Amino acid sequence: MRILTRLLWFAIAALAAVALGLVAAVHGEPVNAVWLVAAAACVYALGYRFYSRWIAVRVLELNDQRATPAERLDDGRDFVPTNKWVLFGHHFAAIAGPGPLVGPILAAQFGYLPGTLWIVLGGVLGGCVQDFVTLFCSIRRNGKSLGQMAKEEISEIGGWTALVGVLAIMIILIAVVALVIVNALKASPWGLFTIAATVPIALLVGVYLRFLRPGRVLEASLVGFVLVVAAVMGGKYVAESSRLAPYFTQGGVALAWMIILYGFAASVLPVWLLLAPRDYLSTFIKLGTIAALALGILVAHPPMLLPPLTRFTDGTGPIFAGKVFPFCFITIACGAISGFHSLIASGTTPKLITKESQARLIGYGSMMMESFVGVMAMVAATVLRPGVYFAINSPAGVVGATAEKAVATISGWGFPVTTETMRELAARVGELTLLNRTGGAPSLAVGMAHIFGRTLGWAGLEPLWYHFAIMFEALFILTVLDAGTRVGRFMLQDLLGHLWKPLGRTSWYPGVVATSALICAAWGYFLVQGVVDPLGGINSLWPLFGISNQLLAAIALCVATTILIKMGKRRYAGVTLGPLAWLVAVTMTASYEKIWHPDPHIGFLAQAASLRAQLAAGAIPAAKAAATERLIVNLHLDAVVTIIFALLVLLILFESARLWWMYAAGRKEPVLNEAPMEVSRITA
Amino acid sequence: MTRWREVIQALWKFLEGATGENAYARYQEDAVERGEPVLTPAAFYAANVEKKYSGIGRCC
Repeated sequence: MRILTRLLWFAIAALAAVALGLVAAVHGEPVNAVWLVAAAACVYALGYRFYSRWIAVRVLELNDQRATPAERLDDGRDFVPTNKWVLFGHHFAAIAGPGPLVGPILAAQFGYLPGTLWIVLGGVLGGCVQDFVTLFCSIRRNGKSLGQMAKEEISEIGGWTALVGVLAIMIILIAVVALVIVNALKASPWGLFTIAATVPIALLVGVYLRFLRPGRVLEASLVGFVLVVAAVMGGKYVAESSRLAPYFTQGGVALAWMIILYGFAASVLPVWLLLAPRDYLSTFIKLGTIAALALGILVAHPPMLLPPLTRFTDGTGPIFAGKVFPFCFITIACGAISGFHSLIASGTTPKLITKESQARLIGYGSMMMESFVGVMAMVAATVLRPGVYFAINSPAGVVGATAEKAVATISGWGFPVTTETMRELAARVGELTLLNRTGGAPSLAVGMAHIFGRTLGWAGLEPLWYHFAIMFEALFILTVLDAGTRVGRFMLQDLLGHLWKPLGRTSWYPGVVATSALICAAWGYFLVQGVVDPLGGINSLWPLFGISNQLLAAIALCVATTILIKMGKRRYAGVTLGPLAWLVAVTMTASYEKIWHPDPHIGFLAQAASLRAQLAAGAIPAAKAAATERLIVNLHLDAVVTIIFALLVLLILFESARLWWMYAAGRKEPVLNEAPMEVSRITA
Repeated sequence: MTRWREVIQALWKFLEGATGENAYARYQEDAVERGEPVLTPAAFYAANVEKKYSGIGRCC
C-alpha cells in the first residue's frame, strides 16, 4: 500500500512536470487548456500533500489535544465549534472575490505563462502559506485580528500601520472593482437591466428572510436565483425595446454615480434588507458558476489561442503599462497571494475552527481553491483569439477611438482582428460593441460564454451565457462593494469616535449617514477619476490596488515571521520570510516605477508632466483644458497614495526587522502572547 | 434503500449547516441549554446578520 501511494505521488509529480513543460515550451501551435489545468491541479496536490503537511507538523506543530477558541470560549454566537467542511465552504466563499477573476485576465497581456506560473507557484509557496499561518496565529490568540496581533507581537506602530493599511486598501479596492462594473455595463442595456433588477430582487429576498420565512436561506436563495435568471433573460427584451433601451444605455460617469449611490444605500439601510440577501444570492451563484466553469473547461477542453509569452513583457502593453516584473505580480494579487485574506483568516474563521489540524484544510486548502479559480480565469482569457482579447481590453486612449483605428493598431502588433469580427462577436453576445471594454469583466464573460456554449452545444444561447457571466461578476463585485463600504464605515466611525464620541456610535443615524457619505466619497473619487482617465483607469487604479493588497500581505507575513521566531522556530522562518522578501521586492519596484518612471504610460509624475507640457504647448483643446488640469491633480494624488503605501511597507518591515535583530542578538527576550494551553475534550 | 436515505439525510444536514438554514435550531437548542431567553426566529435572523456584517467578511 505504501509503495502504491508513493507510486501515485510519483505519477502526479511526473504529470505535473510533463504538463508544465508542455505549456511552457510549446510555441507556434495552440496547447489544449486541459494541460494547463492538469499542471495546476498536480502542483496543488503536491503542495497540499507535502508542503502544507510539513508546515503543519514541523513548523507550526499543530496540536489537536489543544482546545481551540471555538471550544474554550464557546458562547453559541461568536465562538462555535463548526464542521470543518462547512467552515471550509464559508471561508472559501469569504476569500473568493472578483480579484482572481479579473487579475489573470488583465495579466494575460503578457501571455498565459507568467501569470499562470505566478498564480500556481505564488499560491502554493506564498498565498496559501500566508492564509494558513495567519489562521494558526489567530487560533492561538483567541481569534485576534491581524491589527491586534501586529500591535501585540510587533509594536504599537505595527498596529497602526495595519489599521491605516486596511482602510486604504478598502477604499482603493472598492474603487477599482466598481470601475470594473462600470466598464462592463457601459452602453450595455441588457447588462445594466440585469444588474439593476438584482437590487429589487435582493430587497424581496431580504423581506422574505426577515419577515415571511425568517432564516430560510435555502428556499429564499432559490426564489432569488430563479428571479435573477428571469432578469438575465428579460434583459434581451429590454435591449431590443426602443422605448426601454435608452433608459438602460448609460455612459461611464452616470454609471459611476449610480454605483456610488448604491454603495451609500447599502451602507445606511438595515443590513438584512439589501446587503445580506445580496450576499446569499451572490454566494450561491458564485460557487455554482465556478463549479460549472471548471466542469466546462474539462468537457470543452478548448485550445489556448493566446501565446505563452507576448511582446508586451517588455512593458509596452496596451492594457496596463510596465514590464512583466514587477507588474505581473502586482496585477495578480488575489489568486496568488492576497493580503486581504489575512483579515478573513484572523476574523471569523479562527473563532469557529474545532481542531488546530483543520487550519491546514481551511487556511491552505481554501486559498488553493481560490488560486485554481485564478487559473480558470486565465483559461477563459486564453480561449479568445489574441486580436479579440486585445480589442476588448485595450483603452481607446491607447489603440484609437474608432473601430478602424483600434483594429489597425492591434493588427499592427501581430494580433490580426477586423471590424467585422468585432461587430459579429458583439452581435453574437447581444452587445452594441465590445471594443475598448476595459476592466477584464467583458472579456472574461466572452470567454465563459464560449466555454459554456462549447460544453452544452447551445451556441445560439451565447448572449444568455455572456450576460449570465456579466451578472455573476457584477454580483460578486457588488457584494464586495457594499460589504466593504459598510466595514469601511465602521472603521471610520471607530477612528472618528476618538475625536467626537457620537460619531463612534453605530446606532446614531446622523453619524452613520455622515461616515457612509465620507467613505463613499473617498472611493467614489477614485472611481470617477478612473472613468474619465483616457488610459481607462485600470492602468492607474489596478496597480494601486495590487500594491495596497501586497502591503497587507507584507504586514501579515511580518507578523507571522515574528511569531515563528518567538516560537523558537527561527530555522523555519524562511517559510514566511521567503514570500515576504519577494513581496517587498515586487511592491517596492512597482511603487518606484509607478511614481518615478520616465515613461508617461507608467509613471504618474511623468504622465502629469507630459500633460502639463501639452497644455503649455496648446496641444490640448481649450474645451478639455479643465479636465486635463483635474487629471494632473489626480495623477499627483495617485503618486502620493503610492508613496504612503510604500512607506507603510518600509515602516512595518523596519519595525519587524529591528525586533528580529534584537531577538537574534539576545538584546530582547521573545515573549509569546499565546492563550494558555487547555486540553481539548472534543473528539473530531 | 436505507443506505441511500442515510446518504441523502447526511447531505441535507451538511447543506443545512453550510447555508445556515439550521442556525436558528442550533441557537435555540444552545440557548435553552444555557437557560437564556430565546429570541424569535425573525429577531435571531436580524441579530445574526447584523453581527455577521459588522466585520470584514468578504474579500477581494
